[in-house]
Amino acid sequence: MTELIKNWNFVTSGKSDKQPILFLHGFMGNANIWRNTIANLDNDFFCVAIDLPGHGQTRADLEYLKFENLADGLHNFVNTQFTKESILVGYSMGGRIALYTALKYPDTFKALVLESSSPGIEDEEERKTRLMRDEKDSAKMKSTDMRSFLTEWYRMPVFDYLNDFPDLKEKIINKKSSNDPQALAEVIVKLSPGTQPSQWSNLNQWTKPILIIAGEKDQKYCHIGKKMHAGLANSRLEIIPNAGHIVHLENHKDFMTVLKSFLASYIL
Amino acid sequence: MKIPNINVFQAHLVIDHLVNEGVELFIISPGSRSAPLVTASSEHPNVSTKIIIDERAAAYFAVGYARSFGRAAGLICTSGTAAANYFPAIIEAYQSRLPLFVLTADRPEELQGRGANQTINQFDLYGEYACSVTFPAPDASFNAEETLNKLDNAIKKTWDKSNTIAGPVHLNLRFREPLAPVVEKFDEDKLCHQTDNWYQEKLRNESVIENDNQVGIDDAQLLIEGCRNGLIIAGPETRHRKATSIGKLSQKLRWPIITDILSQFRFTSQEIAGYPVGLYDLYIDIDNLTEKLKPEGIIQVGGLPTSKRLNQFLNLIKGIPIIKIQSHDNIIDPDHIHTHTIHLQEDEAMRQLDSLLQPNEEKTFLDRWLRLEYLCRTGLEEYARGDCLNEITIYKEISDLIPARDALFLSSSMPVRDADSFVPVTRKGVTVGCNRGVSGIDGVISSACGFAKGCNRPTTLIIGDLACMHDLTSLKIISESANPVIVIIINNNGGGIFHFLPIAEYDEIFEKYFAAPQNISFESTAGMYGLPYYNPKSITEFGSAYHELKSDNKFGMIEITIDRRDNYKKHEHIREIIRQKITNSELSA
Repeated sequence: MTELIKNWNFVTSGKSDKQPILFLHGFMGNANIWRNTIANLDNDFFCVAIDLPGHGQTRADLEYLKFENLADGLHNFVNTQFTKESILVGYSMGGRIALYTALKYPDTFKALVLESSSPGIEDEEERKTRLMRDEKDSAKMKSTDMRSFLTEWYRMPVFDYLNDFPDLKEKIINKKSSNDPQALAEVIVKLSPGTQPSQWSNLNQWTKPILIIAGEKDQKYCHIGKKMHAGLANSRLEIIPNAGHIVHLENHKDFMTVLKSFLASYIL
Repeated sequence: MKIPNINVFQAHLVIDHLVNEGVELFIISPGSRSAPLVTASSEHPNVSTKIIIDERAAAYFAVGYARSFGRAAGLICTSGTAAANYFPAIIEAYQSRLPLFVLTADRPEELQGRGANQTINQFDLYGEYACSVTFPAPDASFNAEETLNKLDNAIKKTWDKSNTIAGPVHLNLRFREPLAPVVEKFDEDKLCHQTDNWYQEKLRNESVIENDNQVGIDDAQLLIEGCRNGLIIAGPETRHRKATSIGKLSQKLRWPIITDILSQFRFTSQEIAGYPVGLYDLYIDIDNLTEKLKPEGIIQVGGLPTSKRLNQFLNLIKGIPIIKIQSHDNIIDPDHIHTHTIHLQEDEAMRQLDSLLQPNEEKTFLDRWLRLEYLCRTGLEEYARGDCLNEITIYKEISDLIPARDALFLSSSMPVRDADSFVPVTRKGVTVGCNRGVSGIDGVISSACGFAKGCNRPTTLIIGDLACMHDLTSLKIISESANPVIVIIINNNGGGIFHFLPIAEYDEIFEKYFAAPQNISFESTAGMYGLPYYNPKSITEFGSAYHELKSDNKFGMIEITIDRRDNYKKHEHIREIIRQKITNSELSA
């Protein structure tokens, strides 16, 4: 486990005596996806974006690639990097990891922001189906090149709206083509919502502030967001117009507005 | 094992019976008349013994022990003032409804009232504060069944194993010579036969425990169904084992739990659901918030809340249903606020309500409480960033530093009040204790040691300089404790609490008679008892001292030197900071 924790790559921005925020990217992303977000916050906050295992420059330590270990790793990371409780921001898979970690270590984190994310899948059958799909994708990844895999990946219904923005889609695919498909093939199964223990029934344990963000075009996560909001105390739900799954990219301006307003009303 | 004489036989009868009632620990203060009791308890295979010289400390140790998980210890002392020294702790146990078995040795009938040495009238010595029974000195007419009946009756009045009722039981045992276990012939076979008879008879007659009184749950259901926004108040002595059911109801109703520092909910454990809030003392009295925080109904468990402001708030919002759940019939309601009382065990009542009530979907009210809680927490954090170690920041710091599942014992004057105001909710499962029954300044260190023993955890004690001086000899118990106790002395050179009272305005008598400064440092005292000593000047220094003791798993003393006269102002200042923060937030809109 120590290996997994020690070798995480991360970038920082802002003064370290400010309130720390830790950013977790989604599947196939890396610390860089937060560049624009961080640029808007680093006057008031100490921003740290991490490369999750198997992404960017963090090695996938396969043996330890499990939710429990990631939570321990993040907990350890913030304890060594920060002197005060941090705010945890996670997008998609990063959000699932963030929520899982916060629930495991509720005293370590101060507030949560989940963008297009979920507490996992409640129904066991559904979880199995999802795992099967991810296992299939994993096999595909191992056998094809990254670019063709990505082209296939972005045909999923959750990304349908991207068809209206071919340039954006191309940009995203280009950005992610440099990833190591072998590592990601492991991540997609081991950190799949099909593998993750559902956190729906534990949501009530988080009573600190939590901001839930979903894009209005992303019906699935709007629905999940509403359901989470109802099950959580002290939560705020923001449905962002003109955005789908990747809210921070597709409508950066409104994303920043709600994030800043949340941080200001609770944190500053 | 051969029983040498009738004195030891009677002592065995009593000790065995107490062991059957669940007593595992006897605390013995040295003396002569009590020798048969010491012989019987030290020989018993299922009990452990502990020696504490000072009877006052011994009794407070037993109080602390009982306070942690409700287990009773036995106290053994000799006759005379030894027995009288138990009295303060007995009153504390009585007021806190804690079990305590007090075994005092006494001189035989023929020596009573004739000026015999070390002989006082011990008959009913503790008055209404203990259920008392005197046993005549055993002789040839001794009857084991009669003795057991007397013993059993005394115990039944104040104690049953389910701990629904508890209080001190005083067993005054008279003994003639020989006191030592010298062999002296007595009719052992007859007495053993009587004893066996009695226990067999008891087993046959033991009836099924009656069902709890059900009246009231249906009414409570109707009342609660009429309220969307409500509060659960967990007062002092709400124990961990009740916590799960209370947490579940809080979650179902989306009602915040107001967690008294002594409720075991402030440091709740991670498994327990529900919505605990802890910093209410800092915002509950803010003028324009009262209306927004006003619930439509309240469920209350446990004792009277520590926070004066909370009690004032409850007075202010009268007119709503306030349902008190308790299994005993002591009235804990000085302001007459309870509109309904349910006589049931708290967890049982909670479970029944949980099965009857529908979940509440509304969350605005709950969110408002949680947001206030959060703002206060942030306010305290910012305040602590100045690294100034004072009677405010120390509590925030301790709540951060204390390891999960440790124990915390608070002295009853300022420490418990300050901790109640400034310790935010965490999910650490720390067990908290304090002698709030009568809130005495006495026996605090010994109580903390008993508490550590009772819950078998490393314990942190926070105590003021006056209370510490009052129980100085008990520092010896710390150096012998199997569970390391860290004593944090807040030395503000006198009684800090009096600065919060109107007497503070009367300069000519205040400083000398109320604040009563003693002008001492505890460094050499720590040396005398072999305690590692620290005197940190900042939060950072405090943190490393505490950390150092903790990482070595050691007992020790940390003395924090504070200017008493600034303290009142600091308390006002932090409240002002919080008030500003809330005023600037959306909450005051």
